[in-house]
Amino acid sequence: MALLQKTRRLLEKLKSEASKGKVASCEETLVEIKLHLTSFAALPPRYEKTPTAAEELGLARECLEQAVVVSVQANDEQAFERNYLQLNTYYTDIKDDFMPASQQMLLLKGLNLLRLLVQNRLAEFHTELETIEPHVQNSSEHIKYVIQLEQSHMEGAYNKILGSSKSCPSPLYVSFAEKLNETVRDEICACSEEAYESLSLAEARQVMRFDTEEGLLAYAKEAGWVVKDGRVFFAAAEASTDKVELNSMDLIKNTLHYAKEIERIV
Amino acid sequence: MGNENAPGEAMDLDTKKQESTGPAAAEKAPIKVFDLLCQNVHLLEEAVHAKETSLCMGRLMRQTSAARKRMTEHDIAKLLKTKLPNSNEVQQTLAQFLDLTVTEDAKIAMETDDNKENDAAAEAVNGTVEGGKKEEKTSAATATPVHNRPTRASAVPECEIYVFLLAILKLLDSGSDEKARELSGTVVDWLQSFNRRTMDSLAARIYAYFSWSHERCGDDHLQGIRSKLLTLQRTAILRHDEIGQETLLNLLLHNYLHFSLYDHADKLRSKTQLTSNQHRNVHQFCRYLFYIGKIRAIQLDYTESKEKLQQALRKVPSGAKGFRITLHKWLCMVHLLLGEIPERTHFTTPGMRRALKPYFSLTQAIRKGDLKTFQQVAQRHWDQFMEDKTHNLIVRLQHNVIRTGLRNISKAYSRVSLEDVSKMLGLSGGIEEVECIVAKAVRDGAIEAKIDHANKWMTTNEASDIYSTFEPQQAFHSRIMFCLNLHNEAVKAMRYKPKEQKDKDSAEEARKERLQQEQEIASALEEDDEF
Repeated sequence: MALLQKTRRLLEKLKSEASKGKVASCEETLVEIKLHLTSFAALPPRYEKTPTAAEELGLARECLEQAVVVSVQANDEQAFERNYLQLNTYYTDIKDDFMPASQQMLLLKGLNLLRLLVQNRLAEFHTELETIEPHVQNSSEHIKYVIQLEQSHMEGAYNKILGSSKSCPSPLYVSFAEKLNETVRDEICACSEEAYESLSLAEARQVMRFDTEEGLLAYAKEAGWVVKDGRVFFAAAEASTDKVELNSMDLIKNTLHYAKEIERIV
Repeated sequence: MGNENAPGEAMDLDTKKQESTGPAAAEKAPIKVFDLLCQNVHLLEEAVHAKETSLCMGRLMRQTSAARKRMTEHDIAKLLKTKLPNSNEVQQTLAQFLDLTVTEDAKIAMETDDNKENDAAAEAVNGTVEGGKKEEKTSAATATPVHNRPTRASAVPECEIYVFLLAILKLLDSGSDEKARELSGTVVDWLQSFNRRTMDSLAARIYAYFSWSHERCGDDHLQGIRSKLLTLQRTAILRHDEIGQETLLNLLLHNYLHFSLYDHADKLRSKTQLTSNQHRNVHQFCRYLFYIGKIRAIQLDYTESKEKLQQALRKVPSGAKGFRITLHKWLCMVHLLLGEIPERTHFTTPGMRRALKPYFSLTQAIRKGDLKTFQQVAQRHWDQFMEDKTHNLIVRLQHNVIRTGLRNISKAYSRVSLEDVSKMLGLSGGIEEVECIVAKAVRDGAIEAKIDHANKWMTTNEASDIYSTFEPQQAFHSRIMFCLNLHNEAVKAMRYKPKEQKDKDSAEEARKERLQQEQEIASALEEDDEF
């Protein structure tokens, strides 16, 4: 009992620290809380039916939720992944009638989806999405926001993604959304390389969303584009038009393979 | 319950099959159910004594399904009395679920039945058979030698399990799902106490109905048996019970996928090693392929998904119609997501046309590349798609619709303004969006085009002659590889009867003969070479 109260106090402390944005001290408190959590018997994977089981589980869930939030503030994707995986068990394995669903669940689920999108782990993104009920997908603004982003990403409607960071459903999403913008810019540049022969500097800046001309020039240098007479020429496109030479090694290998197999059949 | 409709899934693979074989068998053989069951028990006994139950399982299940429709509780009770008179435990367990107390009328009927049969048998033996009674008597005569040996039956626990299986089937057929669930639970616990390889095939069937009965009782129950199934699977692996492993793995995959836990399912699959890569049972293999195909589709690995689903479709028994339809649905989705248009024959197979209608309209919309029609179709059939759990895939398709539309445009026009493209595709986001979308399509190689930013138009490159590239060669290569693999797989899948001792001599001779022939051929070839 005493332990429960102690942990609860720590959680309060963590929350107040988090709201003030003291990331370093948050992490310290978090370590302490997690140590306390290990001594609760009702938590996974033990799931013992202690008299205070519901309370313990609820508290642990709240702590982990806060931990996820802290890792977003600390901008630590790895910590986020770790904490979220711990938390996810509470969302999937505990029945609603035992403990009411968390208010923050959809917010954090959406956040996790966004993280997977930023890291370009699309397979996991979709597996995760499958676990969310269709009616929730349509009703929750958090989930809907991320789904919209993913769709634009697939279609190539990058301008929509760039515009969307302003309409984040929660301030927690902002940092990931900004990261997504960076990835998207790289994508735009890669696409432009193929789609245009040349662009004037001003156009290129507008298309690729560089704030300054210097930024664009630096990027162009890195990508190996030629800047001449105030226009950017994309060299990569020319290289790809060259016909590949006959790959005789593969041809020989294949033919020999056929011969061997046919011999086996005959 | 809702699932009754959607079970192209799991269990219904065999229920459907049984239903289709049921009536045909019933017409052909008007044997009494009880006799049929006795025959089955006898078959099982022999197999157990020969220590090879997996081979006769197919026959056993076929005959059981023939009897299943007409089977009554009374038949089971009678079977229990005659074949397993010594197993009180079985009787007590069953009595909780089935009405085993044979009522007075039934008892008399049963006794007279027995008497009649005995008489008939005696008559048959005496050879004084009269024309009118002939049919009934002959059937009885064939059956009597079978069930006159009750003492032998009780020696084999497989028969007890078989009776349980019959009871579960009966309960499921008569709609008492709750009872079936409880009974199957008891039987599964009971099975744990045996470690007999001859039990494996029967046990696997029991597991399947264990899971199915729980599913019929609702999601909570299905979720509840997960750890039980995992334990069973572990035991099956330790005991090298291959058929049990296959069945349980599929049940677990089904369980996870039912709750959309694709991640769990994939992890389980990747961590499970089947002792031999070859599946023992075609039905189980088929299901396994289907589950893998589903998982891969969700993980965006469409190529592999297509491969698995196609393989499953080739192997699926023709009777399993529900399963077939589900396979078609998923395969269609995967085709579309790959940017291919499924063949028309996919949708026109007799008996499936109605079920596949939503997918057909979807395909039509995508083929036209018309975003509006696509959205309308998706809206109209949304409930159906939700039920099929393909709704998320449908959402993904939107991007394919745009791609197809774009490809059509790029084929038709050599130069077209981006504004027109936007109009034709029915996009709402303005020129900037179209420009981005076109750029991405160019990069992904969907269209060969260039964008002129200053003039806001898109110029299509001259289509290069595909036969000057390596494309045809590669296509040809993959087809050759497919055929060669098919041949190799076929060779591997061939099975031979274990050679018996007495055959050995003749086999030896045959081998010598073959060797001689080979030598002759070789020398003939050498001669050829010399010329």
